[in-house]
Amino acid sequence: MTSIRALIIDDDADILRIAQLSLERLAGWTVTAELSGGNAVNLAISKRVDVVILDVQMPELDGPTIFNMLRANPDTAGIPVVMLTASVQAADHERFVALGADGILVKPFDPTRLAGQIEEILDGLK
Amino acid sequence: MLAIGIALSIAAFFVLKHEEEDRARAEFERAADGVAASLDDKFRRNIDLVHSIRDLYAVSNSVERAEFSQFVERATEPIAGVQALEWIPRVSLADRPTTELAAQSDGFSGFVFTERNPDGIIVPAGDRSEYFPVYFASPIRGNEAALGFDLGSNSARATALASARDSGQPVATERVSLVQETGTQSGILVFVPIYVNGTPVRTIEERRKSLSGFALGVFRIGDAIEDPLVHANIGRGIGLKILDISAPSQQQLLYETSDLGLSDNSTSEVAVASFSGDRVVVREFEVAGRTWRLSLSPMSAEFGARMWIPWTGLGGGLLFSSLLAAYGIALQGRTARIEAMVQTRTSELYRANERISESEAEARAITESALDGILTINESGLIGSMNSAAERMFGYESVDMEGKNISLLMPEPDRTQHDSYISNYRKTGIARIIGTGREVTGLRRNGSTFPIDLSVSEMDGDSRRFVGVTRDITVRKQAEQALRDSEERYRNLFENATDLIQIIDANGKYLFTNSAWRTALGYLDDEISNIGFQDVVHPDSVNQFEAILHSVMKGEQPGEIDSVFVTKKGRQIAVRGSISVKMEDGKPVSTQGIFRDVTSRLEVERMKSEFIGIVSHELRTPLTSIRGSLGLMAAGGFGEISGDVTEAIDIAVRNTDRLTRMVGDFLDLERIESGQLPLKFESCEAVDLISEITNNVQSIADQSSVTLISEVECDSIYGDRDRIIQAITNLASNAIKFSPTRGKVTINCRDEDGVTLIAVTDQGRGIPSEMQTAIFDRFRQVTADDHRRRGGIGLGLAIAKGIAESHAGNITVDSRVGEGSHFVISLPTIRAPKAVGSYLNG
Repeated sequence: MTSIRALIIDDDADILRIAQLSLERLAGWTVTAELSGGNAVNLAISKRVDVVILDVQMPELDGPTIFNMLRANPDTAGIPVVMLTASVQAADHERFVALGADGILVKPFDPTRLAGQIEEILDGLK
Repeated sequence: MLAIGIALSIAAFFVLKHEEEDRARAEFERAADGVAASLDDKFRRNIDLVHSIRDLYAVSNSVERAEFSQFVERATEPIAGVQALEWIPRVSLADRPTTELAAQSDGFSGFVFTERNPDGIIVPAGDRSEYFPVYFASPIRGNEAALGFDLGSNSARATALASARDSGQPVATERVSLVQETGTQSGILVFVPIYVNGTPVRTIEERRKSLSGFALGVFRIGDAIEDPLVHANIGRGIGLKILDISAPSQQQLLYETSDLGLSDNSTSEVAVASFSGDRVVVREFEVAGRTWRLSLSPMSAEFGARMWIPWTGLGGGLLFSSLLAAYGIALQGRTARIEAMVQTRTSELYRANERISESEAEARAITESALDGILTINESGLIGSMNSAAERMFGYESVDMEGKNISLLMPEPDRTQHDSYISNYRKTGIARIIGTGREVTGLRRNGSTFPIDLSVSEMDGDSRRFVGVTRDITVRKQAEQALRDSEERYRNLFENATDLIQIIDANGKYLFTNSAWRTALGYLDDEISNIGFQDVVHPDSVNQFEAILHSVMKGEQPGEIDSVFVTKKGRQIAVRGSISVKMEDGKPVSTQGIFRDVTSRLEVERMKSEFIGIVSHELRTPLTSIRGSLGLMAAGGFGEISGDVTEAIDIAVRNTDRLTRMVGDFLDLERIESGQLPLKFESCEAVDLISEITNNVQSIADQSSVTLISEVECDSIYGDRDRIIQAITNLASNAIKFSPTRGKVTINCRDEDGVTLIAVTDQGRGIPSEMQTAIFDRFRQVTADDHRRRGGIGLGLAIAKGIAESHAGNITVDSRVGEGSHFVISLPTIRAPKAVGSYLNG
């Protein structure tokens, strides 16, 4: 099976790195990791990513804003987006679903299961 | 001789006939006089009874209901014809409500002033400037209907009232039909006016001004007339008709019977054929200002003239002996007349004496039985007599005090002052002590003092003497003081309370606020009466507040109320409190609200919620990194690991997981307790839910070699699936942790009486009964080292309890030390709408 290409954006460098390592080392994905979302649209296009993983709470551009930017561009509008949130509030989850997010993952995530969970979401979209 | 004999015989015949007719008439007149005298006497005594009530009021300023009936019962045996003795106060329109209330609180719950409507039905009295209601009546039995009846509302009674008031004399009404009459008899009322003690009553104007009410006697005429005659066995064979000739002609007939001896109890319709002619005897006497005319006629042979006597005398006219006999008989007639006269006079004298001694005995009985102390003094202030109440009150014997100065019973400085009153009185003749209702201090023989209510009046008689009535008002003063103390205590409590207290009238206007309220809202005390709740409650909250006031005034209890008040300067204050209603006569008159300024508390709650959010993010993020790195290492993400490294990483993973759970538990509990835990209610399949719980705890059960048994006896569980799983998982993992090796833990769920019961049972060490409540508190464990040996920080049960309660359910434990524990969470099968509302609002 071909390797999945993912763009992951989180302002916490440690989390970002663990997610990247987890997806690369344990699942063999190709991961582009970014601390902020300013370049998200360009990267998603240039790296031809299969999925974008967005942290929700970030300074300047937060997850929902980046999500809207991706959906606004015809070249990225079709890329699945998974929100990564520390919130366990059901209301927040409902807000992301209403926004159009393809999946929601809750922090803290289990690095050994992260790739599997995202794959499940992607399978669900097929 | 014969001519003389014949002439003598004829003369004798006429003499005898005349004598015999005279004798018969005399005999009838004597009987008629007896009847008339007996009735006159009877009605005098009846009026004396009414007078005795005036005496009661003369010696006492205020007479209680019980005192009145006690007095009447003591003074009078039940007497036929006396329907009731009553006290009729004069009550102004303004005093009507308090008077009615006072009688109601005496136990006559339905007491109102009444009158007769044009159809003769008793109805509540309309408004007029003053009333003369029947206030006390004794006996009460049989006179209930009269209580409250306004005698001023009826013209016959009002006329008599006015006449008694103006004359100061007893006045009887014309014939009336009694309010309390159930038969057909007529009645009369006798009013004796009573004036305020010590006020002048010389002129009509003064009498009208100082009238305080009337003593009233109610008499049933038929009974009053027949009873004494029947008892004395007089009146047999006499027809009687009584007219009240002071009344208009159609109202004159008071009583009529063909034969008093028959003692029928009503005005007789039997023929009274011969109430005419010279055989009718007419007598008049006065009854309380009215003149009653008695027409008496002989109705039987008892009063017939024995006409055979003259004829026999004539038939034996020539017989001298018969002349002698006739003469003898005539002589006998005269003797009989004299004897009758002596008998009448003697009985009159006897009755008069009897009346005097009865009246003295009555006065003595009244004085001795009075609850108030009664003392008489002369114009020098020397004591004449004391009744037993006064003896008890002051601790002296009456005999020891006779002739002693009344000032002995007064402490200084009253004693000296009293001496100067007396000397002043001797000089000027002005008696300053005369009057009603003065509070003075009394001095007992043992030197102690006590408060007295004193009234003094002057007695009729040749020398000036005074009667003083003293009432020991120690108890009343103590009660007054207690009331003042209690009022002051509550006023202090009210004023010094830090809560905001307000009383609002039925129209929403402020009546009272305490100082905390005024300080918080920025109003001055005198501004309160000008504002209503609409000026204080925030416009956004005013409709809700008004709705609450309405519901409170309907008697509902809305529980805790949250609202927002606005200070005079416009600052908003969040308040929380309660409102209750004050009812009078079944109508809401005001609401009382107690509120607490929760502005700062709400601010704290907001900060707390913010804190939860921050902790939730900031504490979990580093944990995510640690757990992630460890996970990667353990999973071989950085190459194979083995031996001690594997073990060290396992320890780090386990403890990171534990820390993560603790942070999670802590946040959950905070959110549950601050009401910020959102719940998603749905019907969950019970089998799924329970198996998820067993999955969660299966691994720790296996580690401890504990057998996990699940029994699902219901189809569904209603509630927030994740939270129910969390709660039961907490119970199950506790049960496993405290189970012995190879023990059993059972999870059972079933429906019972509208609730779903989810039970977790273990065979562990059990919980001592004194701990069974405390274990649900946060950070509480059965022994202090449980958290080290068994893990956990003591939040699991607190969370389970919080989750159960936020579902409007509860959690209970049944446990015996050494035998195991049985925890049950009960959840409503369908949540009641009210619980949903309160939860969402909370």
